[in-house]
Amino acid sequence: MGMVELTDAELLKIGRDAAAEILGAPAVVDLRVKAIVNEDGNVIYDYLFAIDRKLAVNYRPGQVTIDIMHRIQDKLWARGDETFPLLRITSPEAWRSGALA
Amino acid sequence: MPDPAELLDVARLLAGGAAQPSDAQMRRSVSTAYYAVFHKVLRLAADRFAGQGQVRSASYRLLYRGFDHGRVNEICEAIDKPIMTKAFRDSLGRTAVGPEIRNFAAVFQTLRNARHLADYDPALRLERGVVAEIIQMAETAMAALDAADTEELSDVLALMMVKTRI
Repeated sequence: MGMVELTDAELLKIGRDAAAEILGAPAVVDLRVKAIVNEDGNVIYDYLFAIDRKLAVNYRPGQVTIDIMHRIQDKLWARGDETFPLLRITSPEAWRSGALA
Repeated sequence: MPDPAELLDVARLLAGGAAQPSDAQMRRSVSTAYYAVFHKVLRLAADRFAGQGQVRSASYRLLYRGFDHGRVNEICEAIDKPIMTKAFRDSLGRTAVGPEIRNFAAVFQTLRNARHLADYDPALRLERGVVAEIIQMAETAMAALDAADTEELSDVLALMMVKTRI
């Protein structure tokens, strides 16, 4: 297995579903994903999430990214895609301010 | 000797010390968090295989310097799976690593990719919340290594250090 051609919509759904399963759907305010090339020359998925901690079920700083990442990987692997998902989590306020890229 | 906990403190200071940390401070914070975890791996391995208190010995220095970032990442990628490939199952004598090592492996890959972006992507913009979570992840990974099964950790560290044929 390696990388398969998943659409942006599929990647977004995978990310949203994974985060919702870990934190509850209301906490997942928004997300975006883009494919980038890492320092080893491999394509990775660069996910950025806007998460409302106040609405999250059992938000554990440091662990939450790991849990969502593993859930995304489970979903990617089920579709035959072993591309690594890099996750960054920010607040809805920072997301709305456009202070991220 | 670089102290992983002190490096993590530096990462926190860079991201949280000023009212409005600069872009450079944020980038260096992410990079430093990665190096905190990398040095944690080096120290654990050198302590384990050369012996604690042997810092000035040649064997300790050689082991400490014997790790390659890419190789460590490669092993993390291989062991961060519910069931490892047959080659790694045979090599490590187990079907999967425990949750502590798996958490560490997930974080290492994340931090290495984040560090590369922080160091080289001119378009990357970081804000305090993102960096705070990255630092928390580094702390989680270091705690996971401390809590990991001793024998399992030794096996994984050895695999990271030696380029055996898998």
